Amino acid sequence: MREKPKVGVRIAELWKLFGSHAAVRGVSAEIDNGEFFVLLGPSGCGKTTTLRMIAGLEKPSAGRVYFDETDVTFRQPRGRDIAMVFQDYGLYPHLSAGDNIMFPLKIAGVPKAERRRRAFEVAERLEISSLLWRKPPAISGGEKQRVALARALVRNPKVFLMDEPLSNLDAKLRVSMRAEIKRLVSESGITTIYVTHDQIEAMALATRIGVMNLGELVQVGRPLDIYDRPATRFVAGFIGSPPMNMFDGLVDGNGELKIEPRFLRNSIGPLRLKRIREQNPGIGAVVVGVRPEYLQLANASESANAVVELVEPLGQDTYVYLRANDTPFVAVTKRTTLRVGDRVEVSVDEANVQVMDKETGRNVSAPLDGE
Amino acid sequence: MNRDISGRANLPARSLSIQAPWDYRLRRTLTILLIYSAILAALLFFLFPYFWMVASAFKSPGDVTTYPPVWLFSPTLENFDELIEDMGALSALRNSLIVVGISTCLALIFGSMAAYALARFKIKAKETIALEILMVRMLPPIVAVIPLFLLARKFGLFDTYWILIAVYTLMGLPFVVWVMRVFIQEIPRSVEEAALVDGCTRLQVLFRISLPLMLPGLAATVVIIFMFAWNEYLFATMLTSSAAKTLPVVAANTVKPRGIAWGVASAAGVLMSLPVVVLALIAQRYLVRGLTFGVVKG
Repeated sequence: MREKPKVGVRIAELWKLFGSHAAVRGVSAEIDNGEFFVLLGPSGCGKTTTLRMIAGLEKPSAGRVYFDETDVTFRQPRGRDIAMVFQDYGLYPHLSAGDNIMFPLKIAGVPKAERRRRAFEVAERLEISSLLWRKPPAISGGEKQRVALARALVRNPKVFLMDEPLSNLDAKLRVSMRAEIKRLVSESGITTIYVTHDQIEAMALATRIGVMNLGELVQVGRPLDIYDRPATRFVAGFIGSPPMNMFDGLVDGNGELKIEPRFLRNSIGPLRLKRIREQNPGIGAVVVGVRPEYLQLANASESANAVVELVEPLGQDTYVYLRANDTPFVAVTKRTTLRVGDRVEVSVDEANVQVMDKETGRNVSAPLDGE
Repeated sequence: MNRDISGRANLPARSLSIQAPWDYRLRRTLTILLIYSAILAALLFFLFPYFWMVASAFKSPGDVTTYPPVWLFSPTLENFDELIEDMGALSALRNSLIVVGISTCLALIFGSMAAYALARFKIKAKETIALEILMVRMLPPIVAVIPLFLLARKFGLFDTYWILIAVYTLMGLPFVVWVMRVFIQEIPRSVEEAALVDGCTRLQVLFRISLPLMLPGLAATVVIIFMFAWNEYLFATMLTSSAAKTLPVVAANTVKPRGIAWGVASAAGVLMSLPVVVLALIAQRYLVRGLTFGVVKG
């Protein structure tokens, strides 16, 4: 077999216009062979349209799509050797589950005995052998999902494309199918592009995530890198649950940070602040972000700087809603004895504070480890 | 099985208590009886005229008009004989089959294609186009008869298959477009897209996926537009004289100046209804809808 190039799928400056509305605005990305790449973003951000252009179901208004460095931009879907799982499964209602799974092989002209063997093998792996004779209207949502996955897996395609495949399942099933998809895909070693609006799903599945917003690819990176170093205010707010706390502040002419609540005043050291100002001349209004789990709470009545407004004990974690100097925010802690009305001292480690330019939304943190 | 001293089967007490109380059972039986008698009454109401027509078709002219009607009579083929020998019913039947068959097929093919386009593709003023197509159907046929007659004369199409085929195709088209459009809209796009991704060409998608899913709709539509055209009288009588005369015209000719030939009229009715009955029976298994239900929702 020929050596595979490193980059499996490359999209270059993809644009898609619907009338005068640009759904996708110049998206470029390189997805390595064997990678599990998740396109993440809120609904209407263009992630599904991008996926459909990679699939060939939608023609790009501009830009190129390459598979293994071969230009496939204008190839029909059938010429791309892809398999796709749709949000509503896209099963053929007039064919039995087994015939659904065998359908791509049948179209490809695989002999009948071979078709059956491979379909059974895949069905066995997905534990759906017992319903191969039933038609889609007669099976449950979770089973349909498995049949759709089996139909994609049986092909052994070059690229898997999945368009929110778990969104029609209930919460519990979603978690178990998520793990199953990850297992099946990593076993097959096939490049996968997966679209979702669920950041937890994205974090759980991806080797790399591409975050999209308003038709643009905002940030690409490994899940934890994106979590720790969001490139923009949007990414910072979109990833993480509960979302990152954001506080408006101002870097004044003297190079001092003015911000409420007060405990953040000294959260950014003078050296770092100086560097931020050097790297971003003219910076004024900023947004300071702190993830809820990085806020440390200490019971203290004298130096207390915040009041507990609401406590949500969720078992593993506890969400504590606080207010300091009229600014509400949330902290996540382990089990706690805190009650509504308690006064606490909130502090934060400098390393866990993100600074974003309010005007451009860009993260200008100038992390400490760069010193 | 365990048996107690009395020798009866020792069934658990539970199995006895499952039986419903007697008054409930009685009520249920009565309800079922009522429903069945209602169905029977409806069937009698609708089928008796048909039975009467079939019976009259085999009665001799004397028996047909007897009052009170005779239930037992010696069947005769006299009426069919007259219908075929004197009134040319066989050639009319052939004309009808050719004209209606071809126009139904044409309306179905072109109508479905138009419906597919209107359901799936982005077309400017799509709704307006669909409405205009329906308006053709709303036009009272009598309005079109005179112009069509003149046109047929002018182009030498009078008393030919072509003019009737054209008219019936045009009559069937709007119906096909509107019914099939709804059926096609109900097929999820993702089903067709899945087939494209799975390696099908556009044409393969049509024949392997879309068409089988459209079958229930097509079957219902075929029966209805076939019936419309098969029973059509106005155009048939105005646009033909002898060579392309269809069955409804022949059937109407049984009403003669000196009276109605009931026996022959009934025989014509039997002859006319046969193809429709056969078609409905063939299409019956496709008429059950619901094939596309449950595609999207689990």
